[in-house]
Amino acid sequence: MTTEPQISPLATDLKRELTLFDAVMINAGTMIASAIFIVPASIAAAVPGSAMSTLVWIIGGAVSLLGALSVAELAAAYPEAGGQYAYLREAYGPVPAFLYGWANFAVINTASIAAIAVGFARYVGFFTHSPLTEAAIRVSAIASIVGLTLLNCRGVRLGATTQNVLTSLKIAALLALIVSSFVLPGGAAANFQPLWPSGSVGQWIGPFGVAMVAVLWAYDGWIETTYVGSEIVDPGRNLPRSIILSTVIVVVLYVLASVAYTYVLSPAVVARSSLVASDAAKVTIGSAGAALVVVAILISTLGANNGIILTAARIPYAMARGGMFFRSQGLVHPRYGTPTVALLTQGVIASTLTAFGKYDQLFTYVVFAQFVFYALSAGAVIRLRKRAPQVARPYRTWGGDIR
Amino acid sequence: MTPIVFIAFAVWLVYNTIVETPRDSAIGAGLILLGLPGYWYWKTRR
Repeated sequence: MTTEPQISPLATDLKRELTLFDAVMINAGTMIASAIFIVPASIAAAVPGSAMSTLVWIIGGAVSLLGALSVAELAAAYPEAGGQYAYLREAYGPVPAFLYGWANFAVINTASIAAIAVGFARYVGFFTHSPLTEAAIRVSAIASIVGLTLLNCRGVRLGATTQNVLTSLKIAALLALIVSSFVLPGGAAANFQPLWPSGSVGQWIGPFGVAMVAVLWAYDGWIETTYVGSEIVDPGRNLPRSIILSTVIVVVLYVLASVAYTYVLSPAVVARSSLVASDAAKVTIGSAGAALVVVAILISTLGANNGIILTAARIPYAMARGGMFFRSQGLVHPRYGTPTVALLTQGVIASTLTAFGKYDQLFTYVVFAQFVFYALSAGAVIRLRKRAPQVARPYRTWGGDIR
Repeated sequence: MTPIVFIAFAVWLVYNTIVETPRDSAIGAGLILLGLPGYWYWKTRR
């Protein structure tokens, strides 16, 4: 008979057990939620013309990739729990880092989880006999948060494997939508007309900006895998690769999907569509196509939330480990090896926001801050090269030296 | 270049959001600054 060893939960660290594939699936899975099935309509409405709307998706993707390339250098140099929290702390000191962690703990990540869970729950109603009531939507949303939270408490391997399955399925569903648009009858090259809107260039700069904001939000999520920086094997190699690779994959998928919808529907019809992926699939596949899209959105939103729930709890964990937050947030479950208290607290806050329905309001308040912190991180690349040149940088982004 | 170009777009997006929704952004900034007492608390306790 053996006695179980007494391990202090605070002496236990998270272990490096996530691979390059896990990290790519976490990032790509968080970036792709419901936006690519819906948002192309608002882009087409803002900038009428298939070439112009495609350009918005390409430029938005390129900008996101620049952000990803910048963060990739920091991720490789500081492969720590909390990711961006650690980069801000190293570059700017404890105050901006604390405010970043606090904002994510209290609102940004928790309200995102609530919003995505409610999005998930709304599409569940597609398969019930009568539409779900508002109360039923909230209950289903909370059930999904609780389920994913408990799953991620049981081990990072279980959470990551779930993520691998859900992200693979969502990429497969998106590819099926794209391929069917071009292969099955229904689409036509003539649908790309008009390529550009009429009028002067200056007249379209404003609308282009509006569309660009929506696209940058659709691409958001490329930071996610940095939060599990202390759990990725061979981080100097795998972290930057996963961040860059996942962003490239998502950019290619988004550009192809937006082109595919237009090929089937034309810019004018895309602009009027409330669920553009479904309208395109109805033309090419038929009524089964609409059901396929709903299943794809269910998988996609569930997977995006799994990615956020898995990773975001590592921010309060990292803060607590540095003595800058409730000590209990830094506890690691002796058997499961996960930051269970941080995960459960995050689940409780997200569920509370879901129950009270104020998550979208809260989210609009703090949404601007997300890109303030991204900009600070990109600035940290330049600042840390000057202030901490001795730190090994397994990956160096192009043009990080500013004299 | 990579970080600089990204920062330019991020600053533009933030500026754009603040101009479009000044009241919401002000409340948001307040919510984030609410963390400051927490920072002081943990700094002195550490």
